Amino acid sequence: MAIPRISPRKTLPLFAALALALAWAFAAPAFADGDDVVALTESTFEKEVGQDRGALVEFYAPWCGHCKKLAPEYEKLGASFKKAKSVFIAKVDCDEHKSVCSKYGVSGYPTIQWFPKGSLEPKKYEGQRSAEALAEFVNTEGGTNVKLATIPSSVVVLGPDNFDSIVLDENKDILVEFYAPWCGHCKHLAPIYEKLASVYKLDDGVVIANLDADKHKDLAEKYGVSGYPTLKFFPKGNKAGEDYDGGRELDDFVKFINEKCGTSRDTKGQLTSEAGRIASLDALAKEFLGAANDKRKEILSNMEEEVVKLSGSAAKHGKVYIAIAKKILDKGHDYTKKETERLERMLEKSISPSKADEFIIKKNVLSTFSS
Amino acid sequence: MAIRARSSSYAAAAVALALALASVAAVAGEVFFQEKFEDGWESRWVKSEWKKDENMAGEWNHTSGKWNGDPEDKGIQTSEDYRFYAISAEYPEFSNKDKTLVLQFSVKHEQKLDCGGGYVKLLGGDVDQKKFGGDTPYSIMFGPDICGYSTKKVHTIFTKNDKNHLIKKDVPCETDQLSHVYTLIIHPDATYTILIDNVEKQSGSIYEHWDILPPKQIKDPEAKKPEDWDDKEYIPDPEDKKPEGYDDIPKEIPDPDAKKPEDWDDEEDGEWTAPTIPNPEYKGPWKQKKIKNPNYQGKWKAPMIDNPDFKDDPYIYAFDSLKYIGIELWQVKSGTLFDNFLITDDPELAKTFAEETWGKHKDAEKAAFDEAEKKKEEEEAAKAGEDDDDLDDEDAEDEDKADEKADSDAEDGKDSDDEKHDEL
Repeated sequence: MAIPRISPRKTLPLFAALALALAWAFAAPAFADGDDVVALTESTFEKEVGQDRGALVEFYAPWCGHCKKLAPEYEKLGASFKKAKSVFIAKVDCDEHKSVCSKYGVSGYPTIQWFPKGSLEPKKYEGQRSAEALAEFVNTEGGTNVKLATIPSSVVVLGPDNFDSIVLDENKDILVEFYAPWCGHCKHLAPIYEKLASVYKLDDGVVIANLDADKHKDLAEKYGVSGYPTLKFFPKGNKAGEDYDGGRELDDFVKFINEKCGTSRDTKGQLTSEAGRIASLDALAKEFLGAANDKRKEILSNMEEEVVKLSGSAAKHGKVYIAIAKKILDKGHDYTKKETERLERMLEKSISPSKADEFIIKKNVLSTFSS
Repeated sequence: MAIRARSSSYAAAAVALALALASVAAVAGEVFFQEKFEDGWESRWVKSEWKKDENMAGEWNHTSGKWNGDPEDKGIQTSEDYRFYAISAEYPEFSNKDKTLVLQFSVKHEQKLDCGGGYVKLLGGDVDQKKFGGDTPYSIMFGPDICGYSTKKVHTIFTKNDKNHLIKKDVPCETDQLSHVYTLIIHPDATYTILIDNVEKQSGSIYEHWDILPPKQIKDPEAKKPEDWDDKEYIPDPEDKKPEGYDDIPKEIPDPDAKKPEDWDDEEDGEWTAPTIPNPEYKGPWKQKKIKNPNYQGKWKAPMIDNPDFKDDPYIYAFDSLKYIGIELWQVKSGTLFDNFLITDDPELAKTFAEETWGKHKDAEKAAFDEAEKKKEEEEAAKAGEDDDDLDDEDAEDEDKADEKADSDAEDGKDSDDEKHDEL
């Protein structure tokens, strides 16, 4: 009969050596020293905490994985409370300042404790480790009403109430990220996904969306989501959805969307030199360029016949070809050069993104009417 | 026959020790086992053949170590890295029922240990000492264990009902390279004490510091939280109303610094509109502030009742059979030295024994260690300073040349000149 027995440290030592090496490897990249969070030391702790301001203190270690995950949220919190007068957001590196951390009973990382104004007896924070939840806690304990600094999000937030109306729209291509708030990889993906949504903000036919699949488990189950994050693409022609299996960097996503949706964006959200181009009209433009004036009118008519066949954004772009051809007939060949230069000058100025799109398309079409 | 002889030998040793210490201790207790690793120790200890076939069984050295207070006071030390070590000794079987039990020994990690154990096991029943190893059932396990930064503790494990029970208290162990004495005392009133170097580090009730028995009291499983119990610590602040027009604040606003470009052609380009920037007034969706709930009654807790599964065991501290002592370790880095084992029912006797052995030698050992460290540093400094030595030699030569008055120096100078002349 086998008796369960404790034999400490039989195989761990070999792994432990590696773990120690990894620990030091993690220690090498220092914790980002943002100005927004006050870094306290053994000598400064009791000069700052327990004085005339309340303090939220994160006790961390540079090598701690959960601390790294918390860092961006905590920095956001620090930035939001930077101007608050009655509270401040601080942190202590427990590898560097052991005595402070043992004094306040820190045994795991990260530990977040609230020190009321004038007190060195902390209250441990055990809520959710998001900037929103932490801000709510600090506002309640500190009697403040600080709002988080918010950058408008372009990601469409899906839920049971809007999922079908958005995702199943036959006129649009939808990319959906199924995520969970506690998922580490989701947090890593979040800023990239945010940028992606911003890139395609002006493309009506493209929707970059996400869904809290932990909160809406039924929708996750319906689409066979079992891991986080899972990305599914719902193109115009396939509303059952297909798995996105490509890379998860911004470049990868932009390339995928451009290919699948017929868009022409770069990673900054600007249109590329391919935007607005239509192959059949390009051929006619070249023909137009080499023809005499009498012949050009005939080619213009051919263009108009081609444009009538187009639909959607292509139809809109086709009209640009027509307009330019007419201008050339009216104002002569110099028009293309002068207009291109004018557009380039304005693109360097402050104009709205939608106008910038118009100008880039026009510039691209003008280039097909140039030798 | 052999066993009887061995027992007789132990009894004699115990009596001799008791008599020797009678003048020191007020009351002489019984000694069940004592080992100072003097001559003849090998006849008392059996090296296990566990891991031998795998060529992973390590050798023990009989030594006092690199630094010690008395070169003649030897122990046994692990000598090979990445090896298992298993060795045990037998003593006359006894039970600690209605008796105090003291287990004491010293450990020195000479190797600046980063990961390894230094603990000892007491075993009962019949054990094939040649097969003693990690899976051999034991009664008590006690001693230091170090691994990295997170593990630096004294294990105290009791096996009851075929299950290992770990102490629930965290008792830090020593981590330097000197000898330290570890003492475990189990009292017949089911209390215990742990000392390191005769200094108490932890004590208390075995009932409370181990989970050997089911808890005396449990939460009443029949109890239910009253429906009107208010356990919300925070509630939405009824005073905090959404400001009028909050939802009408746009996310983005026209950039007030933007200007219409000079090249703008209203006819060609349409009407100019400024690009937008994030609105600093926009604060995201509105969230109602929370305040402390004045009606908060705290988190509800079920009342405690006597646990029907609880059965008291006045002999929770006792072991029916204690007959062997063993050391069973895995060492990545070898160099751990064990010495001065004592199993007795008399804490004062153990304390005196520690003072007479470890206590007597610890200062000299420390001095020897410091000397060894100093020598080590000097050797390293000497290596680094070889170039400096060369420079000194050159200076010396210059001095020799400069000093023409001294006869011997002058002679050296002449010789040097002659040599140079010959070369030319």
